[in-house]
Amino acid sequence: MLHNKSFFFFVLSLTFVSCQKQPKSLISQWDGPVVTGNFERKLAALEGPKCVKDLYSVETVKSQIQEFESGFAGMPPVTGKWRHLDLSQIPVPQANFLKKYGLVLGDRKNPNAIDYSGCMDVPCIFNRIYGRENHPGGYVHYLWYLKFGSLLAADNMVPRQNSINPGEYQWVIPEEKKVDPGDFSQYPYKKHDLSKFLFNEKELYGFWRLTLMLKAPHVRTRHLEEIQRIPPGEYQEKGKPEHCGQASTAGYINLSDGCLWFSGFDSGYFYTAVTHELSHHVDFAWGTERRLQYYSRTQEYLDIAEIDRVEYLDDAKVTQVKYVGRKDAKYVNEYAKTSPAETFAEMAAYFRHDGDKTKNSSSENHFNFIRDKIYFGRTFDSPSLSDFWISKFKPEIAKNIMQVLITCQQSSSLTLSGPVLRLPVEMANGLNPAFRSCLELKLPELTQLIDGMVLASEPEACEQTRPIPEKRTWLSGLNRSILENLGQQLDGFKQDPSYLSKLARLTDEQMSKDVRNIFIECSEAKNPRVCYKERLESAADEIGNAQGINPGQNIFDARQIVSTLYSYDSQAELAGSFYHNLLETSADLIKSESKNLWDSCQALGSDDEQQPTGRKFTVSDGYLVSSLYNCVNNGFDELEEKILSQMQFKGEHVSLSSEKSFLKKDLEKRISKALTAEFLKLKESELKAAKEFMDGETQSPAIRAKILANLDWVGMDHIQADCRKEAMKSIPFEPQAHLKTELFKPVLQNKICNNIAAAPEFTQWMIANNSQLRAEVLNILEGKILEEAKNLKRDCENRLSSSRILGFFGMSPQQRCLNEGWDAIEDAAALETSKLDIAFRLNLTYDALRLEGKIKRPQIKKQISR
Amino acid sequence: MTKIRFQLILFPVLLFVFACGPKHTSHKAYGKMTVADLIREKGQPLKEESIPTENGKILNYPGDEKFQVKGDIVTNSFRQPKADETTLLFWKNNFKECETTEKILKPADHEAAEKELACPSRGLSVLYTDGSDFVSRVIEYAPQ
Repeated sequence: MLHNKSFFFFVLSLTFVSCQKQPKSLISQWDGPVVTGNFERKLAALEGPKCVKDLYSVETVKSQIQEFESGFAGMPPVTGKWRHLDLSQIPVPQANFLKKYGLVLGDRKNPNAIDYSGCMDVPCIFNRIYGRENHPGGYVHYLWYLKFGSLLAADNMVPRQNSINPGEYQWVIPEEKKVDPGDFSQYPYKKHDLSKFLFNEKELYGFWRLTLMLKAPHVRTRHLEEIQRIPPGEYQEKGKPEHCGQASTAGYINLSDGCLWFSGFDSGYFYTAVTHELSHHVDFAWGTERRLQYYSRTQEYLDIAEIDRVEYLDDAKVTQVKYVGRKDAKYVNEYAKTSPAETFAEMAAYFRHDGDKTKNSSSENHFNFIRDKIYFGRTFDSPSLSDFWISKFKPEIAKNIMQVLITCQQSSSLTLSGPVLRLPVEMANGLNPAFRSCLELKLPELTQLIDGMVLASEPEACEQTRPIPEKRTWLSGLNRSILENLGQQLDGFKQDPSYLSKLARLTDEQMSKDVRNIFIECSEAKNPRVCYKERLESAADEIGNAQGINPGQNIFDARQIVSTLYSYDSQAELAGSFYHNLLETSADLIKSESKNLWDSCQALGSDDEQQPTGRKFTVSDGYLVSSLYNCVNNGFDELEEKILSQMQFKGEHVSLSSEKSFLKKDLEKRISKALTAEFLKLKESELKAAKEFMDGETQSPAIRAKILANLDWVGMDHIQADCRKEAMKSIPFEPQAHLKTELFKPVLQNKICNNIAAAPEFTQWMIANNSQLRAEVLNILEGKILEEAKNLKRDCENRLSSSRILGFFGMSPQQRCLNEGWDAIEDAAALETSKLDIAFRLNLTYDALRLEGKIKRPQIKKQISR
Repeated sequence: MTKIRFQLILFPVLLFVFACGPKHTSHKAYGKMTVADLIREKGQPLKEESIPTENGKILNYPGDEKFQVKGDIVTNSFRQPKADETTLLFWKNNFKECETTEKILKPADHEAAEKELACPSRGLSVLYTDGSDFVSRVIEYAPQ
């Protein structure tokens, strides 16, 4: 009976489970690009053999922008206005950009100095700041935001600059004061035109080139908000002249001349320096994931980079922390040895821009780590570069060979003339001579096409393949790859000439949706790459079987085709972009829901009794009472869920748990930022209120009068500290975003408790209570002597416990030992007691107390001997 | 009956103790504990490091825990913060009744300054990077 019931329940559950609608991922409904790199292929195919540098134009950057903007297809329009622009009428990412950065563009000293009228897009706004029209530079600024998620600044306010006024940077220091300038606040600030804060032509080209060179994790890093240029000729205000770049977790990178030099267009320190600073932000982001400032200081990385952390308290008890490279450890240069953060950033930057040098000047372990974790297995030494290009363009080679096969099959009688690429004998065997000569004539055209695509989309390609010998090596490698691919396809072609049409299913729209689903579902797996590979292969097998494509037969191997077309890294890039875009369009929702949580927690009232718990929302600069902090952290997960439940894409909500997890990675950061903004608002308002209170106390010292009216709070020692403690109780202000002691420290020290013991009320109180206070001080003295005497007695007895011989007048060695130490005990007690504030006020000096100790000696000795 | 009454009293007491949480303080008897005591408690160290102090060395234990010794006496330790201890706010809250000192270990230069927040009376210091929300190390020593 029981079994029957279970069986029934099992069948019912099975029916229920199987009837449940499988949740769809939002990304599978996205109309964005199917595979990455479309732009490069399109551009290269259109332009023929041109170098990246020669392609830099408005049209090129525009088509890159279009590619990114297509990723926002289906995102809801943004509401609001920016000057004359209705944000709902412009592309979503442009509206997002203006919402986020619209107030920090151009001349911030005089925001109306620039006429933006007639500008209907973001590139135009940037170009107006530069005073020009339809220039690639404006497009590069916007492209940077699309790719890196941060602002390539074009304004006259440097993040964390000293002056509060835009356009003012560094001090005017007279020549004679330069060696020893003293206090900088004595000097006026230098004034700079807006144009001095703008990147020049070459620098903008460099940033554009970097958009082609860098991918995740350098893009959309957690903390980076903007990259700012320091006016030419100036160095960082908070740095030394030799440090041309500054990366900060406060959200910026500042760059000065030393980081921005070029030799030609495609080389120079610019590329290494900018990548170095971006790599610091990778370090910060990875560190934050581990609840640290720098990932590079984790033991994991220190071991990889062969660095030891040496920490100790020196002989003066001062903490010393040093990072020391292990014996025989290799680093890319001397600067990389200065700290783990610099080791990391230098290694990541040189790895990308000087692959040959890096390979030879770093340990294998470190090299492999950077290769795998930052560059997804890519290396950039010369031989590896060409291997990578060939593998990147493999799908293109395969696709074109299919086309060549079709053309030559249809035109078997065609006679053509031109350069030929001879087929190897084993490949040519059995082929119709006309077909064969057609292939041999068509293949050089294909070589030329792929070469052109590589030159046009790979920033190093021109440099690497321009010299004749290198060009020959590169082209022969490329030909080898083409022939290899042709060989595989010919095998399949010979078996089944209709196979081309069978492959179509592997590249159709449904497949691309399936691939996106697979990627997102695997993102929660223990090893997402392995999961993705297995699931992709199984999808390919399914299609292969349905289409009659048998696994394991060279080009007929559907697995091979899908793994080339839909690499894990390209899907990661696309997914990163989709979810980033989705969250960008939810900025208002995130802000308002975060504010709701903050307000509801604040409304609960506050206390600071519990210990702060939770680490999703944290506070670095300042303080927050634990009730509010804990409430916000306790509500964090629920808030995430609430926001996710309201997010929509094409009318659908997020329902897949793996998709939620993927979104949460970025959402957590955004909520945290929104909550921090609320915290800073609270902090600001408290500061203002505290200042008003302090000003009031300066004008009419009510609290000082109150604490002087009743001096019961005065202790024997630390009158100032006691005063501060008492006064603190009287301050009718309980801050939440400050430690009360810190907030009111200045007014307590400088006003309320300033010289309190010299106040007439205090003196009168001392006179009135003189005998009682005196007696208390003497009690303290007696207590100290008694305590130390007991210790000494115990010590003497322990040391001399075996001695039973009586000395003169019947005094035991233990008693003699105690007597010998007595003077020292009294000395120490008198000295310590004389240091009490009240003793000082009563004029109970060391000598006076020493005498009092002597007077009390017989009485204390009596107590000791009991 | 007595047992039940005792439990009735004990439970709220324990609840109070755990809910309010003891303030962090240095547990080991630094300045008195000997190396032999340490080895008895934690076993043999993974390795020893020499340091430029008089008669000093560092004993390394798993989990990036280090003990500094002078001669035969364990003077202090360095360890990773655990759970909520990783936030700077945790320590600011924990030290709010303490006369704290804040020292710069490495002044801000190209990188953010390295700082130490100390509560000498409790024998505790924490290291953090200026501008960071998180603490990187906890140092324990004899209360001063």
